[in-house]
Amino acid sequence: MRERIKFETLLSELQDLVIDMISDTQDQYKNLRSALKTMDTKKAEELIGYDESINRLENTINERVISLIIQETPVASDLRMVVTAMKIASDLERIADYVCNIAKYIIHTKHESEHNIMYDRFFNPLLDMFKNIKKAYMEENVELALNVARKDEDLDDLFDENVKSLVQITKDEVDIAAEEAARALFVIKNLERAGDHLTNISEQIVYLHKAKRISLN
Amino acid sequence: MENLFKIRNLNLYYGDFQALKSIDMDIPKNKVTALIGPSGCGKSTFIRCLNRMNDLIDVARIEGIIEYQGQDANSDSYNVIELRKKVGMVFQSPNPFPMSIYDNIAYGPRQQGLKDKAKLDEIVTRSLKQAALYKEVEDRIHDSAMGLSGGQQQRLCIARALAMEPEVILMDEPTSALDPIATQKIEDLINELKQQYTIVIVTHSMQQAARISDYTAFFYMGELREIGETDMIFKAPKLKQTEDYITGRFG
Repeated sequence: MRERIKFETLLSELQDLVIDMISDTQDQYKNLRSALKTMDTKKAEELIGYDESINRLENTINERVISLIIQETPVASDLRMVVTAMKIASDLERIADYVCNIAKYIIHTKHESEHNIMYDRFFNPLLDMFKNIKKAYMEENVELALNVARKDEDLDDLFDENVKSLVQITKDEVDIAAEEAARALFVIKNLERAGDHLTNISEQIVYLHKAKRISLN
Repeated sequence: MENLFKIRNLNLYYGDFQALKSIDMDIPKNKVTALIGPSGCGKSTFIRCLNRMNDLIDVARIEGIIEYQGQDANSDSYNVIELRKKVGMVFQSPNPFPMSIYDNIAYGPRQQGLKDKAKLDEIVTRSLKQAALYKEVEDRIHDSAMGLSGGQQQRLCIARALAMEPEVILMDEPTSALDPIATQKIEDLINELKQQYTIVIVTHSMQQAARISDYTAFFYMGELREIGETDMIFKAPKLKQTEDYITGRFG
């Protein structure tokens, strides 16, 4: 039996790049959590700066995928591997963009408010999803990928519950409090969307290993 | 979907060696069926059963049913000449006869007793047009076929098969000796021909099978291991062995 050693190496390197991109994005969220706690503008600047390296990682993955398609014409599970790598990278890039959006909010707002405790609660399901999506991808664990999608429902519930109270504030209060509530809505919407994109990655992991397209969002 | 061939429990032996093992397979009409598998897997042997070319090999012994349009073409009473008229064949390397382009194509009909010049002219023109060769050779139709390029020679062989008005065209690696442009022309031609003919093609190029066939059959060590719609075979084959072959893990 002849193995395609070079091809196997290229595929394995591609997987490693995807895992690196998940880890880097996960780190951005960990750092965002602490930056939000104290509205740390310096950390927020760093988060924006680091986004560029995540974008570069996405480009690297895309270039590798294109080269693999040209040089190795992958089919079946190999093709799913390279196509899903590109799609997962695209979702991660978007997830990372939400960090920048919220970092800009920190820089703009500067001071802490009553909403900071609320924000922190979003990071429990979100970081749990990150941890498990990485594990599911690395260990080819479809069940774990489906669990990530289920966890997104917790995040959605948290979002719905807080939207109601924030909308109420915008109705009841005037000036600063109303504006802060409106901005807080924006922050939690970004966190909620990050969850949706992590769920997209779950779908990709299912497709990768089961060759079935399912909709989890 | 109508099946032109129904093969049941086909076993073929070359002396003591069993080259085909219990093959059950249907070949649908007006579709392209690609046969893939590593060298020596039995795909060429199989294709040669479909027009009983293996009859020409003394040591070959064939058991089972090769039903062609409702009749067992493998039975002793079946008219093999009729079968070969209906099931034409094109081989790996172009094999034109050392005669003119015209005479190459008129050869079969003449063998059948056709002498009418106007009819022969019509057959030659139609076959060359169907094989997408007419425009390239119309002004040198009485020149030797040996002066044609490899790709043109292969299309001439296809034209020669078409002259017999077959229903099926068997192709055994028809592009393996051709350059990419000539290959492309043959592939385009196969795509055209399938409107009218049923095509069974043996190929070692996975990309070719994926591009031109509707169904793909994977042979391994004399067995038909997996058959399905080409799209599914190349996206998500059922068997790991098929996957390992098409992804180049062995072969």
